[in-house]
Amino acid sequence: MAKEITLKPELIEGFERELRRGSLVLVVLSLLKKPTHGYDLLSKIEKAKIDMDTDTLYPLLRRLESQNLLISRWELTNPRPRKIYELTEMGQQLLVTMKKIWFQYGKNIERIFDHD
Amino acid sequence: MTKATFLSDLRKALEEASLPKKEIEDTLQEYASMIDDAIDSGQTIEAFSKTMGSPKKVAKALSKDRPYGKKESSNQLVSLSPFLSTIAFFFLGVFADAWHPGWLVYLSIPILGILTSKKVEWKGLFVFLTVIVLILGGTYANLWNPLWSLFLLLIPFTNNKEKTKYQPLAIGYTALVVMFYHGVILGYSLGYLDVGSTDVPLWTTLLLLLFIPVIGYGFFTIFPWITSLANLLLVLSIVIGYVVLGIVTGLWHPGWLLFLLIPIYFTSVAAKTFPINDLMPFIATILFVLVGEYVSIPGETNSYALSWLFYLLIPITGILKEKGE
Repeated sequence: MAKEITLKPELIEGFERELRRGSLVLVVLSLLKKPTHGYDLLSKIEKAKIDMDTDTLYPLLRRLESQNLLISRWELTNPRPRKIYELTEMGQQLLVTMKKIWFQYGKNIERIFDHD
Repeated sequence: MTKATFLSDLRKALEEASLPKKEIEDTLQEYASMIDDAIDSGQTIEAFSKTMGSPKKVAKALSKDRPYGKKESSNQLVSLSPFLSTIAFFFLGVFADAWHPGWLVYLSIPILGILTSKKVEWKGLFVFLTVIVLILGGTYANLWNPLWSLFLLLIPFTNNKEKTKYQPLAIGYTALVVMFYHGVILGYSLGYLDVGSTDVPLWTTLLLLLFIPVIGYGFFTIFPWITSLANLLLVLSIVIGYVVLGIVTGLWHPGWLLFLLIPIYFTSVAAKTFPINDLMPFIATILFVLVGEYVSIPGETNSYALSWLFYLLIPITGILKEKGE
């Protein structure tokens, strides 16, 4: 009879982080199909129970903007000025492509799991 | 933590990361807005900081991410520079017999590294450019003196907490004295100030006294523990030793190496530590000059063409120390 092994939480966290890495871009692109401001985006991510390293969210927004995948503008309406982010056409195209890749990748992985 | 302290910490972290002013202001404005949103939603600043990242984390991530295109091409250039320098070094050596000072082309590696880094270290750049000027001027025009004094310009720019008070005065005084010293020595060398002496006359040597306030400023600010009489005497005896050695034997070069004993003493013996990375530039310079000057290689009267390799000790010890840590 195989000995039961308890996995250390840090070990699981490390592998989980590896799995999550990169998916934040897909999540952000998906949530920015409609114009959204920074804190609203964060709330949506948390509401969707997407557990990810949110401390990289703001730098990621700046990076995606510099890559022309999204644009931002200051909305000077009440109650306070907010920066609104929105996907560019290029960002929308990337989202469609990345979604296809994501689903295809998922199917491929599942196929491997089914072989077990 | 309050909104004000978070934003203040964020500003400090962004400034330390040398992000452009516009980007800093934009980031601060957006964070201020997001913090207000978070507070309105019942979140604390601590919780906000945890989810959106601490000021240091945000600054690090923003600094790491930019600028994309430039960083890649710059890194490529820096990566290629050792190979390009080696090609240039051998061309200069084989076709122009300039192994020395042809080795100076290798200084393009750290210079490019500095110029392409996000935060340009002007002080480091100045050191390398001064080394180039000193070696070229010394080798081709025997201008070791007064060119060595260019290094004194670094002293008022050295980081210290007291710098704001006397720094402008120190910068102005040092610049004036160095320019005056150069003018006098060059005037003498070119014959405009000929007073009939066969060697550098005593009165030009006495001009070195003008540097005492500069050196004093440097040591009181860089090494506060110099305040002890024993340490002050050590510095003075080295200055006097250099002058005596120069007058008696004419060994102004490489006699100036004596001055390197001062930073070596204060960074190791007086501080009771042995920071090899900090000491290696001085040790390498001493080895480079002494071996270059007094060891001959076939066909040459000196061995500078090879002794420059001692400077490789600087990155070697740096890498070994980093690995060890």
